[in-house]
Amino acid sequence: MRGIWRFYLTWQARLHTIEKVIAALLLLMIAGVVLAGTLSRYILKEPWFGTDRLATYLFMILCFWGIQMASSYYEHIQVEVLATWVKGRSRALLGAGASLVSALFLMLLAGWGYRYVRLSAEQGEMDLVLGIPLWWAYVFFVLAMGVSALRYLIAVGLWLEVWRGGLNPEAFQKKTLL
Amino acid sequence: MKGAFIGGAVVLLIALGVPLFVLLGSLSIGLFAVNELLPPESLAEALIKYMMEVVAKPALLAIPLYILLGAVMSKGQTARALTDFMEALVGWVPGGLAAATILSCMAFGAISGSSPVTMVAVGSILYPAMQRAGYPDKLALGAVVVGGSLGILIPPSIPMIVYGIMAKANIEQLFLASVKPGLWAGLGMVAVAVGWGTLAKLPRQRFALGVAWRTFVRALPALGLPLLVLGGIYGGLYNITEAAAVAAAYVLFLELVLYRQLRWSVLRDALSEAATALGSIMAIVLMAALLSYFLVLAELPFWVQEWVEGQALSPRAYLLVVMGMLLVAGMFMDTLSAILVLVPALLPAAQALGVSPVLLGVLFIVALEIGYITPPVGLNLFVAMGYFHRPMGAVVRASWPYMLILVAVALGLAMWG
Repeated sequence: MRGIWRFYLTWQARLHTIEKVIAALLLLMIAGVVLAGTLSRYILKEPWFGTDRLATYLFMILCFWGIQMASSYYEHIQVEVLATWVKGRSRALLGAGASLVSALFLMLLAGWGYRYVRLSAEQGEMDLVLGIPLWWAYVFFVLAMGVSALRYLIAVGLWLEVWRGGLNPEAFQKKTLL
Repeated sequence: MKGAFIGGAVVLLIALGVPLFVLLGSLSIGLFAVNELLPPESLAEALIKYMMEVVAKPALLAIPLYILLGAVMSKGQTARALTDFMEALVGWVPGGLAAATILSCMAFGAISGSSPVTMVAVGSILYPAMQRAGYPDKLALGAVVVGGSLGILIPPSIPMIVYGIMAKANIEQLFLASVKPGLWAGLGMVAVAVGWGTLAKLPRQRFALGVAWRTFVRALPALGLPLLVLGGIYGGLYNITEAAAVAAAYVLFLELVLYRQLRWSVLRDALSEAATALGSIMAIVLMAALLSYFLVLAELPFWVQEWVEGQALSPRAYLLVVMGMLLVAGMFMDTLSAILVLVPALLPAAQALGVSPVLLGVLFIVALEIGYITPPVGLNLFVAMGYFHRPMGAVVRASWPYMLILVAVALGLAMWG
C-alpha cells in the first residue's frame, strides 16, 4: 500500500472515533429532549417550550451527520447486482466508477444545497418558536453532502489502489447493519 | 428517446453498483429535468426545499429512537435475557430452538422496529446454539432470517411509521392492526419449526422449571418493554415518538444499572452504529421521496385510479393486484423506497374503492417483509450472508418454507382483511 493511503486510513480511523462520539451525543440529546418534553407534560402540565422543535432540528443534524458517517466507510446500501459477480481488478474498476459517479452526484447536491442555504439566509427564514434562522439547520445538509462527495472522491483513489493490488477493499469499506 | 436515455443511465448505474440513494436521486433528478414538471430555473431550490420538508416531519423523529433501542439491546444483555427465557420455555418441544428463535424475534420485534437488527440480535445467540444441537442448516438459518423479518411487522415498526407519514394514516392504528397478522405469521413459523423438528426427530432439551423461572425473572424487565411502548401509546400516555424516548431511557437504565455489562465504548459504538444506520436510511428516504414527488406531479396516481376503474376491479381483486406488485417490487427495491414510491401511486385508487389506508398499510408491510428475504435486493439476505457466512443460495433455500407462511398471511389480508 502506498504511504498516502496508509496515512489516510490511519487518520480516517482516528477521525471516525470523534465522529462516533458526536453521533452518540446527538442521539442521546434527542432522546433526552423528547423525554424531557414528555415528562414536563406530566409534571408541569405542558411540554417545555420548544422541545419538539429542538428535537426536530437535532434530528435533522443527526440525519445529515449520519449520512456523512455512512460515507466514511462507504456503508450506504449499494445496488450490487454485477458487483457481486465480478472479482479482482474488474471489481476495483467498477468500484472506482461507482465512487466517481457518487462523488459527482453528491457535489451537485452540495452545490444546490449551498444555493438554498444562501436563499434561506437572504430571505431571513426563521423558526418562530425558537427564534433561530432556519439556515443553521440546512447548512448541515451542505456539509454532509460536501464531505461525503470528498470521501467518495477519495474512494476513487482507494479503488485504483485496489486495482494496483496494493490494498484490500475491506480496509476501507464496511457493510451497514440497519 | 428521453425514456431510453434515462433507462440506459439507470442500467449503467446499477451495473456500476452505486449506492441506492445515488441511483434513486439520479433517477429522480433526471426525470424532473427531462420532463420539465418544474421550471428548470427553480428545480434545484424546489427539490432541496422538498427534502428539507421531508426530513423535518415530526413523526420521523421516532426512527432514530427505535434504532437506538435495537442497537443498545443487541449489544447489551436484553437480547440474551429474552433468548434465554424463550429457549427455556420452548426448547423442550421438537425443533424447540428454532421455535425459540422465532418467539425471541417476535419479542424483540415488539421493542425494536428493525428487521436486520432483530435477525442479528437473536441469530447471533441462537443460530450457533442450533448448530451445536445438530439442527439442519436450512431449519436453523431459515428461522433466523425469516423470523428476523417479523421485526417490521410486529409494532413498533420503522417502515410502518414511514407508511403512516406517506399515507397520512394514523400510525397508532397501523400498529394495532398489525398485531394480529404479526402473531399469525410468528405462530405459523413456530408451527413450521415444530413440524420440521418432529419429522427430522431432532434432539430435544429437557424442560426444567427452575431454569425457566430463573430466566423468566431475568427477562422480566425486557418482557415489560412491549407493555411500556405499546401500553403507553394505546393507554394515551404518550405518542409514538415519546414512547420510543421512554423505552430508550428504560433500556439504558436496564443495561447500565440492572445488567451492568454495557461499557461506554460499547454503548458509544452502538449509538454511532445507530446514527450510521439512520444516515443510510435517511439518504434513501430523501431520494425516494423525490421520486415519489415526481410520480405525484406526473399524475401517476390518477392513471392508476383510471386503470382500476377501467378494469372494474373489486376491492379484493385490487388488493391482490397490489400484493402481486409489492411482491415483485420487494425483490428489486428496498422496503422504504418501495413505500415512498408506491404509496402515493396506489393509495388513491384503494381509497376510491373503499379500502382503508390502514389495511393497505399492513398489506404493504407484510408483502414488503417478504421482499426482505427475496433476491436480488433482500436486505436480510445480505446481512445473513455477511453475518453468518453463508452463500446466498443457502440462505434463500433455508428461507422459503417459512416464507410461505408470510405469503399465506399476505393472501389472507388481501382476501379477508
